[in-house]
Amino acid sequence: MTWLVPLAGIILAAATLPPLLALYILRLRRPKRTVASTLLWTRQVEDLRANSLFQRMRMSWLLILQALAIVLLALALAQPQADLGLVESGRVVLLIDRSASMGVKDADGRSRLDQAKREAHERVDALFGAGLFSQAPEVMVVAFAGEATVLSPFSTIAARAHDAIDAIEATDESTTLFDALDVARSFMAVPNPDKQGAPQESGVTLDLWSDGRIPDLDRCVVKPGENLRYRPMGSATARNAGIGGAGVSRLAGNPDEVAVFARIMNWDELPLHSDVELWVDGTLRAVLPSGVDVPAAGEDPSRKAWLPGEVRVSFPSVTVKPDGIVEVRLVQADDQPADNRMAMIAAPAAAARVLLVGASSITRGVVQALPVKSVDSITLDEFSTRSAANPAWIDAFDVIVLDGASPTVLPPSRYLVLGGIAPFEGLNPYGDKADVSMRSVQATHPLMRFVNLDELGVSRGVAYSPASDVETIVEGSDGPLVMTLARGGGQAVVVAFDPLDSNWPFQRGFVNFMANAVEFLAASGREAALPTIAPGETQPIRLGAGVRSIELVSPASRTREITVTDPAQTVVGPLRQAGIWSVRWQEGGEERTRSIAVALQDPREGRVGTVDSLSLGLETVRGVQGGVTSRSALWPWLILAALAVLTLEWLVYLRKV
Amino acid sequence: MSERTDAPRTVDQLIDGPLMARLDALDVTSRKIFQGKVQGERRSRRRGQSVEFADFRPYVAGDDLRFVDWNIYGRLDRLFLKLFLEEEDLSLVLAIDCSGSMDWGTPNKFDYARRVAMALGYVGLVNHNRVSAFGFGGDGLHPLTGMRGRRRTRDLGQWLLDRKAVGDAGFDDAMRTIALGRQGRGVMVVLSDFLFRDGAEKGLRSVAGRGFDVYALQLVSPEERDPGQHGLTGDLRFIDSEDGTEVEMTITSKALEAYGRATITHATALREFCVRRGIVHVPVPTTTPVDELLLDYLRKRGLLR
Repeated sequence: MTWLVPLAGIILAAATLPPLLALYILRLRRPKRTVASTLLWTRQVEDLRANSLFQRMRMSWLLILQALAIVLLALALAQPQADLGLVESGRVVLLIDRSASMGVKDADGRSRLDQAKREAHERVDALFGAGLFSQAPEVMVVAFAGEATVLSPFSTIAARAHDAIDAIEATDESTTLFDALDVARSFMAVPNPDKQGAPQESGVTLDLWSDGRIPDLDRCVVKPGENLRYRPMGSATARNAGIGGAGVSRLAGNPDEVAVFARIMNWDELPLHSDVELWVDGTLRAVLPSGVDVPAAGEDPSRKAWLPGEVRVSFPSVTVKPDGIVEVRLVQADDQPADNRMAMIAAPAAAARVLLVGASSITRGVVQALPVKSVDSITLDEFSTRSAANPAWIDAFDVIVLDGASPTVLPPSRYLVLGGIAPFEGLNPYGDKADVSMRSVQATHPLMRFVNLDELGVSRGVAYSPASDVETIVEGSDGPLVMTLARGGGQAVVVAFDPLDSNWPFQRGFVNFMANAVEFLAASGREAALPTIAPGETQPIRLGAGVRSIELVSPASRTREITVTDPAQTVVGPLRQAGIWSVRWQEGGEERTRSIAVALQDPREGRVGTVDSLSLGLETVRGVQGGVTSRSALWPWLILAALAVLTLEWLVYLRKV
Repeated sequence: MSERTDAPRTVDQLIDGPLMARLDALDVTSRKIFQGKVQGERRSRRRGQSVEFADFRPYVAGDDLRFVDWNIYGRLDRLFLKLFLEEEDLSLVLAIDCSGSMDWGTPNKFDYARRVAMALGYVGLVNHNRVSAFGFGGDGLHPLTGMRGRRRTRDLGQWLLDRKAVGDAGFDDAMRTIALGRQGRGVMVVLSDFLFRDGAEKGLRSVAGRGFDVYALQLVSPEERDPGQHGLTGDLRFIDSEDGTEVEMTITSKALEAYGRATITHATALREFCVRRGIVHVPVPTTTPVDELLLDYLRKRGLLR
């Protein structure tokens, strides 16, 4: 039993009990009333008082009940607390994990974070004694996931701690305890200005609510003077499977179509069979015919690590418009739904940047007429020199047109070769050819859209004997005329003759071919999807001048307005929840929208079974199950008892009067 | 006690003409026939010296030989006395409690007692009975004796008006004194509330069986009968009107119930004592009209006829 404010109770009792007793002992100042005789009164009535200064103390239920009520109230004011074995003083830091794995809903249907917040509230109540005059320790509240946030610095105000706990929101971020400990220690080092000159606090208690799935535990240590109390949340048998990763790639033949692939991971000890769906812009577009069978997870003895079962799946190509939302869903009921979906944003079409190497005036004129972003023109020597000095230089261009040029070395990139001999492996040029006519063409290939080669006449060209992986688009009477091939991460379209050695430039099909080729190569060089960011990261948004505010819509459809200070350098986030976030703004009288895909991509958050002990450095901290309440406040019960006694006293008084 | 405005100040206020007219037809009677000093207007059951034969009884030494029936002696050779019904007068003694406790209540018990005494005394005087009045209270015993005839009515009234209700009753001593100073036999009417700390038994015992046909009229005021109905509640300090004794009381419903039981017990004990001693106990609420008391209650109980 602990008395938080014993002096208050003593003062109350000392101030009220003696006057109460005096009221009963001392004679009452009663009004005088003359009666004929007191004979009959004194014979029978028991309330006779001795005619002296102090009356004889007699058995009085009223006095007993009133004294008992005062004693109970005095005890309540002294705020007794039943000690439950976990008593500490000084400073207490409440560390609450709000990472993705804390969103797991265990058997009771509540998320681990909700449970942790509830226990944290109880802990604060216990520490502050839930009393008006209690002298509770200083309490700080820190929420952590991908980063640590101090929601309430050290404070002796219980309401502040409660508000801070209420303000904690779930995230789908990964977990870093190191930052949380670091930020807490930085506050510990700050002396309390209210306690200048007071003895230094002997230590600090760190209450950690987490499921123990903390990847950076090896970086954390418990320092001297720190008492880390780990309160594991959740169940060790929680099951989870999810999408470990997903991606899209544009098909070489059609820039509007993408292939979608995903990696399904199973962290459970049992194999998993599940359906996997592909959704595009909120519409179910494909389902894997027989689902997927994911093997069970298991311990890797050599690495002493838990390896999830893994399987890769791919979907047939689907048409996705630019900025379309592609989402892979794992139809599997498990304890962690956050990683059962992964969404991506299809990249918008973008104008290509074209580099002309040794181009003729005709070629330059055609390319410059195309809807490209930029056209630069250099000589073959300049190209060779700059490529040799810095091969990454050509990354600044989406398409490089080699017009009659034959460089000796080509860094991986996207090339349109017109006439010259390109040093690609597998082309195998073996000489020249003359008077070539078109024999066959893949009319459905994107390169050949709106291209008619019936009238094509080539006076001179390069003879190739291409390898099998080189795709021939146009076959001439004496070997391939147009080919495409992929090499070293790059793509090339090779035309086996110089257009100036043919009648092609004078045909409409030449312009269409050039446009198809530039678009085809540019599309092959771009990612099919915008980058998907991890929860907790930020996303820069390029806004037009004059935009003053944007709306950020979370995956849960919660809208938040953000004031823009610098449209050119606007950053939204951190985006802590997985899913599709939307940014809306008005620009030029039109509403613009930008979608941002956030997905849980950290496989370390995949295993959601609760850990019962933490290893920090050389120290192993065992989880404390339950027992959050270190002290149980007894004053409410005493107040209730006092009220009951007063009620009884009132009833007794009514019966007496 | 301050002087009350409703207290009688003249004899006419003690007894008015209409009441006197109605009382003229009454006479004091007794369950016994008493011996008086002079031969009165009534026949006594006491054998005496009248011409009307009553009975015989054996002669005992000391008897007047003049009343020996010599004829019977001649026939039976035994001495018998001849007893005759004797005409006797009636002695009416009015004992009025003048203690402080009587000067209380509404109607005032003392005023009521004086009016009743005046009426009874008037009945006795107009019937040529020997009327005596005794007032006993804190200022001692005040006698008024030897009244006979209507003309003494005003003397009795003035004597009653002069009485003050103060102090302790001194009932025992007063009764003993009255009993010792009695002149002949008669009717004694005690007008009191009988709220005596030492009890009324000893005093009544002094007069009972001493030649008095005693009537104990216990006067009870409404406030004494039901104090709860007359604003007596809460924490109070009672002051005894006789001896000034202070008693602190908390008047609750239970206390009132206990008081009610105490009044019943007190009255019952007094009545039982009176019955055992041949005394007529008449509880008289002071709300009872005096004429109703005399013409109805006391006639039914044989005091008047």
